[in-house]
Amino acid sequence: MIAIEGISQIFATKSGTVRALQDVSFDAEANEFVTLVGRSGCGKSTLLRVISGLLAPTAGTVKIDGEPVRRPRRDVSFMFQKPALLPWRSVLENVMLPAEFLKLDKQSTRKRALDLLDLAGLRGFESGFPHQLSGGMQQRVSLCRALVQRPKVLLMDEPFSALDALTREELSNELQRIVAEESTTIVFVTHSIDEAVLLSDRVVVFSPRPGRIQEIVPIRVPRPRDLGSPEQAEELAGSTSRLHGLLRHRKEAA
Amino acid sequence: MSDLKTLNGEYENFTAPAWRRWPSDQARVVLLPVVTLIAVILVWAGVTAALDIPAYLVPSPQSVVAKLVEYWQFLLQQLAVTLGETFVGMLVAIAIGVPIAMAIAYFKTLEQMVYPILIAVNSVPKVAIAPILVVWLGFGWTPKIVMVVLLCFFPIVLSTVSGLRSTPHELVDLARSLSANALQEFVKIRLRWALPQIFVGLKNAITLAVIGSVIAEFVGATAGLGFVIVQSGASADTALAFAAMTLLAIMSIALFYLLVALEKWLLPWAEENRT
Repeated sequence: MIAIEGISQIFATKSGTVRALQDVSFDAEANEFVTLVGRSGCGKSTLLRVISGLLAPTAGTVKIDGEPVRRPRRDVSFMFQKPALLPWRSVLENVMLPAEFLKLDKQSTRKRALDLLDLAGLRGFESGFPHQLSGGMQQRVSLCRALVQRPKVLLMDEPFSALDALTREELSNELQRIVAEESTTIVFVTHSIDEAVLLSDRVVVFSPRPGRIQEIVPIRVPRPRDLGSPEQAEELAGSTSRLHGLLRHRKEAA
Repeated sequence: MSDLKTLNGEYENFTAPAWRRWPSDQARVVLLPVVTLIAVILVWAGVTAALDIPAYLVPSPQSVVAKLVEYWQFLLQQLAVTLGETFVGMLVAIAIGVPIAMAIAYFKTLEQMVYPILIAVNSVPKVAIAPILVVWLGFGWTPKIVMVVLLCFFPIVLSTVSGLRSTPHELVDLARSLSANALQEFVKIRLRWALPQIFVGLKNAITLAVIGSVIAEFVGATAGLGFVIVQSGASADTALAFAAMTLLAIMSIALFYLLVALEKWLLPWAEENRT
């Protein structure tokens, strides 16, 4: 589905060149949930931008369905750290924004948008404006917008990191529920090990500067997962401590 | 009812007493300035009467009102002239300023070529140019419009440039990730985002526009409220000058609040979003 082959990224800055990514390769299968974790500055967000086609890599290629990505694709959508809602548009109009740029059928997009808002627990807020919503609700709207065009690939760049801890947990649970109903391959960037364990099929652990793949950890806990459930506690804790170990290890080595 | 702890650590009942709750906050916004205005006029009337100040120095408010009533038709005609100059000048300034601002915001080289010069020219006192405009362009409408444009142009350009630049990068990324072309990105995202900022410039510009037309009328005109002020100054009819000034003030304030209302109507989201 997604094939990432030998991606390197070098940025030129005033104080010289910065290697953000070095020879990163991995695949994501259709409908797989892959999470990229690592310390700040390990290039995870950069990789996400490369996959989306917003940024051209210095070396390497990204292929989606065997096709090299050179520019943003219609079937790939991006969800940002900030909700990135247009303040002059109502919730529904925001969710329907992709229809205008991608020239989708208005009528069916509208129905799809309403269904998604319903699924995200935003029924009754369609005609509200972003400033009337809490941060968590804004990010739900953003998620609906990212899903409205039924993307094959959804790229999520620390989507919950600006929210408070409780809202964050609530939203990651919601995300798990929502994506269970969608068939989308997801590449998710986070700093949170809990989020990674809750959501992912596989977790790609990055080492920083230059960003390289340190290890790919499969999470084999059956879904739906619940961080609070006693039955799953042991399995989840195993994965969690494994990831903690990997990330801590790097710190000591550095 | 809510109890807030004060700095001294004492609890204070925070419900305002009845006399402070009336009138409502919205009414206060209108009523309190009116009260101040009435007070100023009363003091003005009192002082001119008590000190017996000659009318050619400071006319009493009653005599100004009398002039307004006596010459209302003439004064309204002059007001229409000044209003026309202001309005047309403002429109021309928008028509020139906004496209130039777009070009500056989009082309780095152009910005480096033009922006410093614009800012330098902006610091030249435009009043100094007014007599020369008469030499170049005569006594008709043109020098007035040019003067208004000169004054309004800069705040419009500066605010539009900063508005267009302030688009959050995630919105630009969003548009790009949705394969938006440059025109769509501009119309649907950047320009819309810049509108509240552009309105800041317009609100600055509208008061300057009135000043511009009055300056232009001072140096060479046969009509307009600025012309009335110069004429009545020459004939020591200070009350008439005050009447013209009053109308200018009312016009200026009305134009400003017209823009405020337009902004509220066009951009209801902007107020809440600006934090």
